[in-house]
Amino acid sequence: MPDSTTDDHFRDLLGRLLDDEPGADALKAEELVEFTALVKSNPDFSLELRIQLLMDSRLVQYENDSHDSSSFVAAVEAALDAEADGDDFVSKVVQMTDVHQERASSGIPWTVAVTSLAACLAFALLWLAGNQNAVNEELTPGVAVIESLVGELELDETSRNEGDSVGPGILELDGYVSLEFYKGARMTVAGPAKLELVDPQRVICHFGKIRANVPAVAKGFTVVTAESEIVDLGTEFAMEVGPTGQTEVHVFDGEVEAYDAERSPDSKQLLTAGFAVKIKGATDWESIPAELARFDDLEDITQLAEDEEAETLLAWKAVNAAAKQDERLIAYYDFEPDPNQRRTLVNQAPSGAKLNGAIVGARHKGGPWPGKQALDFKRPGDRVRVDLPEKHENITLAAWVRIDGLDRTHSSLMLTDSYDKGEIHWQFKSDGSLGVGIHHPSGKHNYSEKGFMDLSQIGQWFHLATVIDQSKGTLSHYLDGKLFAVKELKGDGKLSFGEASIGNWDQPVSTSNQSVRNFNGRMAELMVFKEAISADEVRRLALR
Amino acid sequence: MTFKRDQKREAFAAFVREHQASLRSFLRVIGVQSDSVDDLAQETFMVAYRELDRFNDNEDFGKWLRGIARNLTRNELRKNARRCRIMNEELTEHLLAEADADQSEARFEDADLCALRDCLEQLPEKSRCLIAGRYHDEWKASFLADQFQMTATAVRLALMRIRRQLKTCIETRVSNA
Repeated sequence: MPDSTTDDHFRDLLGRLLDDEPGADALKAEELVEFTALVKSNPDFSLELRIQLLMDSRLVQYENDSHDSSSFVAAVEAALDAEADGDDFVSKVVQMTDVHQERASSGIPWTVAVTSLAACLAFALLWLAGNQNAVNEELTPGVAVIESLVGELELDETSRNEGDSVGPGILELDGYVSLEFYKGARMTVAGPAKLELVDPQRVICHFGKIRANVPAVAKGFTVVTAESEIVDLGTEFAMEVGPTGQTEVHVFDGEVEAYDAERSPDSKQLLTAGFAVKIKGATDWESIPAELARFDDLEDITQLAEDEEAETLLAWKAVNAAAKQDERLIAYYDFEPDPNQRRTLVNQAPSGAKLNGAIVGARHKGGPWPGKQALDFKRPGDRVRVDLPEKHENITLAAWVRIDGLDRTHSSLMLTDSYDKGEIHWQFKSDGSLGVGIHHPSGKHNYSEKGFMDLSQIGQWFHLATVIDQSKGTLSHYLDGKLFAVKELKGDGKLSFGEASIGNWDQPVSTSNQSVRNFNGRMAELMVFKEAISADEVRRLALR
Repeated sequence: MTFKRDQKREAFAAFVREHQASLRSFLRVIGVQSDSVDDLAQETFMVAYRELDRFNDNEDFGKWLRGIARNLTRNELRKNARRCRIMNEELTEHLLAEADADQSEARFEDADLCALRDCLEQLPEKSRCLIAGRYHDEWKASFLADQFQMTATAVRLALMRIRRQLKTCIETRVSNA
């Protein structure tokens, strides 16, 4: 039986092994050796480890959307389909070679034919991908998802954010980006870089530094430069392309095929793990030692992204501290859970606890950055009940929101109960328009503007603000700190909320047809000002 | 087992749905890195699909899959540590031996996530939040510590205790069912 000191030590090591990541408190190599010795020497420790691993795996499957049953089954089915497609490729290539070349029927053993076909496979893949693209482009313009971004990225001269799905186009990068292509390849790029995304299996690199990880399912992923074509056979490699097209290819694992820009079969070189080639011109290829360490910075993007998030959190904390003192705020909800009253949404503005909200159904989950919490609104009943009694001439609404679905005709950000004179409805619609409805004394009017988001941005965080300025007669919508639309107000009179719901709509009991307007997404901050704030101030709230 | 192609694909998809949860848990318990469990599980299914003609109807499909998973994991032991998908060579060898010795393997069969859901709902709110932070939001203990104003050690011990509680709760539910 181990003594309690050994027991505590085992638990310490086990906890750090399971619940920490490299760089923090995770086990060092020598501690892992020590931990293994403890596990091997004591059956109780061994059983405990197995139980903890079992439950760890169960919880990952249950809690984490990207590891749930349906995601996993879909991934396996895609891999099965890809394998079936692969069989089709082989038969297509066989047919092609039967027709165009006599070589295929010249008695080459089947195994050899298949091996050489593997090389053709990539070509066939491109050939077929090209044809499919022509047919499907309108339906599926997506090429990749921006998994992580540190710095600035433009696609066809439009700024794009982390989480965006991007279609074919010219990508210009200053910083680092990690892209996940729809066919399964992953690519990290260090800027300054200019690339052209052609389709989910093909990228043209004008200049920049790339590291690509290509699982078997994405075999045939191709990077084209001015002087070469690099076809991945399911592996990991890195490239650096200079402004004049000079290219270096370094292979970390597995194999890649390198061709000249014309893709002439004679130019093919097979590069295996640990080898590298420098390509200066069509015929000027030189083998060089692989320098894998040169591409280490491309592995550090996760750390860089975390550093950036930590800075954003600090910037938000400064906004948060200032807002708590801001007398212009009717109410300020920062959506951080209060350990003593977890189902209360605490009003942090000087107006105090009487304007606290009551959380119904919604749960606290992760916010826009690690260290920031949010409320997750999912089910039709989820809401926060608030009562903001005063009436004001001007109003500003500002919130951090993540929209997880455009599934309702109207989705509530904050709606007053009913829709009486002077009341405001702040919501978005299934067509991706952001809107405010105001019931003016002269009649109801809707001030909405399309295009603040589309389906490719589902799951992304936005800072939304709407400024109602009756002294100027305008209503302005802002997206991520930038002015998005200005509308002329069609009425006047004092504005109010009274009893209202964040993330839902409570209608009077007498209403026979209850519309469902529940918000599907998360909210991490909501500010309600009794003034029209300036564009500069909106930008500051959006941390821009 | 012989199938026509479409039948094979369809029958296999049903096998995947039925066995994926327990197979993934099994891979974790024999010492595969958390991040690599899904990869190796997918590879296991792909090997099984290619070899399906060799599978005997009288055999237990789950057991056959675990055999493939064991072999794939053993292959990982020989690979370069830098790209490694296992926790540690010696530790994983030990866990593989433990799995071989454990003939019952029953613990991997009760992969019913409904029981887990019910047990999670019974947890006190703070425990529920810790689990959600750790697994849904993928925050590590050192980070959760700041959130919950606890030390990182206390967070890790709490997570271990909660996982234990959940295990006991699930076993009780399964045995009472």
